[in-house]
Amino acid sequence: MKKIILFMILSLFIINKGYTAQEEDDLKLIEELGISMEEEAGYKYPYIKPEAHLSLGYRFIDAGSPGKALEYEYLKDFPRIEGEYRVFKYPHRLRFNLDLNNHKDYHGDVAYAYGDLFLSRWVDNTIFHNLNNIELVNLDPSSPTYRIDRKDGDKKYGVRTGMYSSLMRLKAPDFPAHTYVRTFHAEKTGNYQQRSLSGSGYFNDIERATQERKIKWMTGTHEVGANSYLGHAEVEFSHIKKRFDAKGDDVIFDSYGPSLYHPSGGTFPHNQVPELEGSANVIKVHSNYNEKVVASATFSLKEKENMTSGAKADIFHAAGSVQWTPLTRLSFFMRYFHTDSDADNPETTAISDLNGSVTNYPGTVKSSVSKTTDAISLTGRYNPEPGVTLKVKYLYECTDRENAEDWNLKNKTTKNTLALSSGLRVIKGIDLRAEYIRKSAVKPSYSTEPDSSDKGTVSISMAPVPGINLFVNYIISREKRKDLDFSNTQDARNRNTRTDNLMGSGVFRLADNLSMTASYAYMSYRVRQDIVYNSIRLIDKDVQYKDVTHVYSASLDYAPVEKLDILALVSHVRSYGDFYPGSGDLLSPVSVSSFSQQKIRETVYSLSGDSECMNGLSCGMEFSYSDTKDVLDNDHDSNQDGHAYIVMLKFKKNLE
Amino acid sequence: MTLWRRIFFLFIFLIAALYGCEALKSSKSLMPIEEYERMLIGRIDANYIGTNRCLSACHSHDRIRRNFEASTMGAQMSAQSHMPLVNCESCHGPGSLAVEGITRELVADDDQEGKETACKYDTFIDLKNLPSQAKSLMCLKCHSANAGFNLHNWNAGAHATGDVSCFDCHDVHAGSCLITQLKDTRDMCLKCHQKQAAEFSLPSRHPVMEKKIFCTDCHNPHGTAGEGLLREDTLKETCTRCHGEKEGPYAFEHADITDDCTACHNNHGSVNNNLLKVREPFLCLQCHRGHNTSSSASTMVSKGAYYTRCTDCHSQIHGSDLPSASGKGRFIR
Repeated sequence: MKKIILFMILSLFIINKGYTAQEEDDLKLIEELGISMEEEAGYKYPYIKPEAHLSLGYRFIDAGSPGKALEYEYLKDFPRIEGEYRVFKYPHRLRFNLDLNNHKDYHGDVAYAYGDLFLSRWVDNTIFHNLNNIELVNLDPSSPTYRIDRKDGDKKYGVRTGMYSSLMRLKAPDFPAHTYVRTFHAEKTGNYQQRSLSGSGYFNDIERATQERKIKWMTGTHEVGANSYLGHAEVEFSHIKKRFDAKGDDVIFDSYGPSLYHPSGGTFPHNQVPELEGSANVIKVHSNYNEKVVASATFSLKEKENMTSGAKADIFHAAGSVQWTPLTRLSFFMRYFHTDSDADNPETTAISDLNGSVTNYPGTVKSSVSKTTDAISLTGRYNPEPGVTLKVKYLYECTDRENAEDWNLKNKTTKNTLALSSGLRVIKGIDLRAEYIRKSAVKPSYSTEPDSSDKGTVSISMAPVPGINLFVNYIISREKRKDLDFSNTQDARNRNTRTDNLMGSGVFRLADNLSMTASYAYMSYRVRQDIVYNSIRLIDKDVQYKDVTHVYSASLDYAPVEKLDILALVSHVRSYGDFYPGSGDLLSPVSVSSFSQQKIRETVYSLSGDSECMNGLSCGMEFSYSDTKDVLDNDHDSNQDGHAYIVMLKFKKNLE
Repeated sequence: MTLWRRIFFLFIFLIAALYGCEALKSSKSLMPIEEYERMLIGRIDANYIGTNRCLSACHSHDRIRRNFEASTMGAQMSAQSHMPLVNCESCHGPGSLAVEGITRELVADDDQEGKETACKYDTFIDLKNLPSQAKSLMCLKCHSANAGFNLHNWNAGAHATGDVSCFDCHDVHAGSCLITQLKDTRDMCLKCHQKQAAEFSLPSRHPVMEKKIFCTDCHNPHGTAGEGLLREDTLKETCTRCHGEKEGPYAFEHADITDDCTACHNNHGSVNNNLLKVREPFLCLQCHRGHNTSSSASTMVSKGAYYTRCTDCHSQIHGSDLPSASGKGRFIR
């Protein structure tokens, strides 16, 4: 904590630097600008006509077999409304925008301001997400030990998510001091598939179950704050309240077989969604941005509580940055980030069965991991010539954990990152960028964290002739880990990963009324690592996992005659992947690999056109079709074939 | 520990308040930095002439003027607004050299001939060819006192250090509404972030390409305290803005790996369901020992149960408040 105090004092010192000298300069400036201010006082605002347009239409949906096709569309026929209204009559400014596809998929945005004294904005963004109904497969229905219980048949699932944000801000007259109220709500309503383990929950009695779960969840954040310009610094203080409410099936009860704590079995809750409450106090301070040295600091203190189990967490964040520009072409940046997370979970838990009978589970809860993380980065940027940028960044991170041994984690993990990047304008129209990042870690905790990694990026953008823009980007990344630790198993050691991403795109303006865009991306992720199986400590060496994806897309924008615009787009994704265990025990009598194979294709076509049909009325049509194909038709994965169409007719009128 | 933190926080608050009160006594509204602009155009004899001798004189019916005056910044053109005066010269620099030799008579004569009297535009600040940091400074000189404090972390942020300027995303002459429309943010971001554009096209994705959610739901392009321009202080706090049901704290935590959602998820898009980085069971086998594969459990049916999806049974993998049948935290109940 001494470091934080020192950092904070330094920040304030820098902020306060040169205050007196600047004060005199500012007074002189006011004096110099006095005449022009008087001139501006006589300024009269001209009359500005309100602007508005309204578009009405209808969406026809054919979703006989949707699967994952058009995953984020609510697949029901519905009228569509889109419109915008803007009015400016000083001091009033009002803007209203609505884009309604249906009652579960719409976007609304309203902003009103009164001069500079009052500003408000409200945004409602509501989307619908079609969710999977995973089909469990039992390879031997006669087995008494391994069973399935599928209670939701062919039920269709989907969740409507409404994201509402609002801001109201008041400004003091004649001074930049503000108070504000900001809210954000994410409300989820609908149903999804709940998977769970029934039976007794022991290895000799495994019953996988699926059932419908209805939800009405609300995550709400409310913030009240004030900020002000104070000469050479600006300060903001805010208080935030956050709450998560779980309604609907927040607790599900099902019968369980006999187990250690319930010798006769019973009906118990499972997959409980807890209600949460939290609050935060935040202070932000920064200096003026137009000085040679610019600094900012943020301090926040947060508290969170799980209202169901009583688990708590206190989090303290301190962050700051300093920018120093000694020369026009040379800048240095320092950033510091500190997090102190103190978790406090209960030492015991209890379950109440459906009849209210309580069973205590003494001493079975591991203390959660509390930790402190410090990260400091230093960046230098140099522009030796116009169009040339060289940048060096060094980042040091250190994490100290409490209770780490209980979780087979390391008490202390440190990471060092060095990044070198350059940007070069070779000639006018050709820009080249390159970056190399080297990371190394001491005592990484999780298997997916590497001891060392190297990442290289190179990209080139070209405009060889007028009307043609080309972009190519390649990223390669490799990670290495040498001492994987699967608790008490010393023979599993290595993990290597490789990532390749190649992207290319081109924009071709073929004629004044015709342009085409095409892009391609290749993405590959490969892992080779040792993995371990439980009872006999079976170690499978050099197991490979891979995912390879090709993404193609092309679009055409064509205006064959005046007031007619046609846009066509097609995108196609091909992906395949597998993992390759080597142990014979995993390959016979059925290969574990077969549960994880995947080969999918997704194609989306869309075509839209707009034309003025009569007297300022614009007529349009949009068509989109999506097709997903589970090529392997693997019963064990979560992929399904599907296709769906949307056809929309619309009429748009600009209103005066 | 918590008490100590509270005392420390109170200490910071008191220092900020004391400093603020002291500074407030002698503070005033921001003014444009005149000398800086004169320096940029290279002529210290240039002077400010005011909007009435600029747009009003030569471009009175210009669409740019109308849009600007209807905008938030235009609302500050009046001294009634009590804000720092923002006009053409606030960004383009002093205009006296541009109108040198132009008289009211000349404008009137040109007007009678149906032509517009041209200013000497090359005497203004060459905004397009300024270095990115200088472009941003044109905006930051006033937006230091930004009301939303959204530029609090701009200066050492990824965009500022990466040669991205305000001009790359904002066009003050694009229209009267200077608030960026959420539906425009996709194209603004993806014109540079093409890797993310490809990821958002993968079968499992956040619907950014569909313009159903927006880059700014998770990222603050104006700079943040942490890495990645994340909207909140940490990755988990950013994700749980919408996915609050997975936030915790829980009685049974999944160690501290859940602080980093990207340990298991590709947050932009993935070929695997639920944005998973790799498919189950390999996802879990990277860190955990698998269940029995030998003796009586090595039959086909046991493999089907244990090695299709671990989350079929361990369905509370983000954390749980209920113990498993053995009384431990196995995330199965």
